Amino acid sequence: MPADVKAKLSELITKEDNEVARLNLELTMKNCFDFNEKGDQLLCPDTGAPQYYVKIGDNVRIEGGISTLYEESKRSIKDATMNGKLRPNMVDPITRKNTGTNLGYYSPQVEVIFDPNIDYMDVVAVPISGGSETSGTFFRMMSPVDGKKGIMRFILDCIKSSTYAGKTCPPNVIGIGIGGTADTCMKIAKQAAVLRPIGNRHPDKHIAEMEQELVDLVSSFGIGPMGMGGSSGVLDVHIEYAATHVAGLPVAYNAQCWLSRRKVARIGSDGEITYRDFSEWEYR
Amino acid sequence: MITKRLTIPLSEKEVRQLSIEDVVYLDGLIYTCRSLFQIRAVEQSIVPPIDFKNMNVMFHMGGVMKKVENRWEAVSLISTSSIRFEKLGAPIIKKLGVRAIIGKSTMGGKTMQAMKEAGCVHLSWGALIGNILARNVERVVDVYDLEELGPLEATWVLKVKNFGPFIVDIDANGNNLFNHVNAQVSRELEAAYEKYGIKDYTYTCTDTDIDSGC
Repeated sequence: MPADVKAKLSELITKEDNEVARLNLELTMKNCFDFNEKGDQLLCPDTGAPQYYVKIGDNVRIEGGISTLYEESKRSIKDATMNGKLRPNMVDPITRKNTGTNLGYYSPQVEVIFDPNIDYMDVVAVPISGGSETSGTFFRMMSPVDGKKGIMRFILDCIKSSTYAGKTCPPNVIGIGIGGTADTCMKIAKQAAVLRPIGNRHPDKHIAEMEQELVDLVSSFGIGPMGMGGSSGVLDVHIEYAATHVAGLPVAYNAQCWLSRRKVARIGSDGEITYRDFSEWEYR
Repeated sequence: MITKRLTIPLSEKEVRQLSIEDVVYLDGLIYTCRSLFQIRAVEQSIVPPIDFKNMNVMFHMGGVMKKVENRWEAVSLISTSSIRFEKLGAPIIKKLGVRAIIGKSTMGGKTMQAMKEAGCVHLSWGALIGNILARNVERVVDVYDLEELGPLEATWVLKVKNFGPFIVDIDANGNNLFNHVNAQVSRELEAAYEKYGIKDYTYTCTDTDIDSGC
């Protein structure tokens, strides 16, 4: 569990009045940190669909070429699966046959961005867990006429449907994508959910206000941990937007579970590797 | 919120005394299953040789098992979403005499009705306790159909001790904790719709079929 998630859960406990919610929050914290000092235990057996986000500085040179990233991503996921660190989750979507290695077409997913201002490479590993992905993903291609009201209605309806009975493992980080083309819209919603740290606000003041307003609103719904009731209904709401075609208004919703696992390996210009909880994923 | 530690097999009486929001810890033998076990049990009457009368707690398996030398161990154990097995809930409860289903999310009206009639509850975890639950498995007693169905769909028989905590989210009196929460969320949402002027909002219809009522 990343430090920002830990800090947010600790804050939520102090505000929580619901008895069952308090029990579950306290137990989760105790379990994540007191019983798991080395951080080597699986708090949730769903180790997700493998996803990497890689940020590369202009002057970074990779032995074997930049495309080695794809081979190394595949090798690392296969190794971790064979060593019992990752559960073999990935199957053929039609035959449902498990590949046994977590590899397959487009798996692991590797998203690469370049940054002229850094002299290092960040490799962010994010396991995309099944519950929040399958129950917490929505897309709607709206008409420009639907505007802000349509966006708001869409977001609120998604929250209700996805958090019911704890389907997405709330309190979630909710990622919203507005605009772009269909694929960009979903991509930025996903990145908003899984990459931006808790408490991070969009640089656009109006969007930042909307994020905070939604956090306050969802907290008042009474969803609680795993949807069992309480004030701890959301970790954060992150909204990203992209320039979009004049003809449409695409909106996407993607939720991340309350464990919100992500880990960053920063490979410095001296070859030294340091580990951290998040990378500044600025790509706007 | 009442905390109870119960020994398997569970009696009908003690199950009927459980209420939603009660916290339950279990001792004894449980078995795991997912969809394939349930489909085969209900549609083909194929079940592993288990004494279901004395082993009446079913666990919707989502876990990682590991073989250490000649023994199986649970690495991390959490129950998976139950609603996707709704179609098989009522028949499986009646057929196997299940007194408690350990799962996630919820089950639908038909299963709730069967739970009321037969005396059965649904239990869910509310905290991230995959490692604790794995540690509370004293022993992996048996595994059936591992080769054929793989580790997630195989039937594992586990001896558990102080296994929990689980929250009763459907009791045997027709109550569903999530429906209570949902009713409150719906009330709050109505107020939010009102506030943003989107109570009766309908998205712009772009269907050009003249008969669509657009």
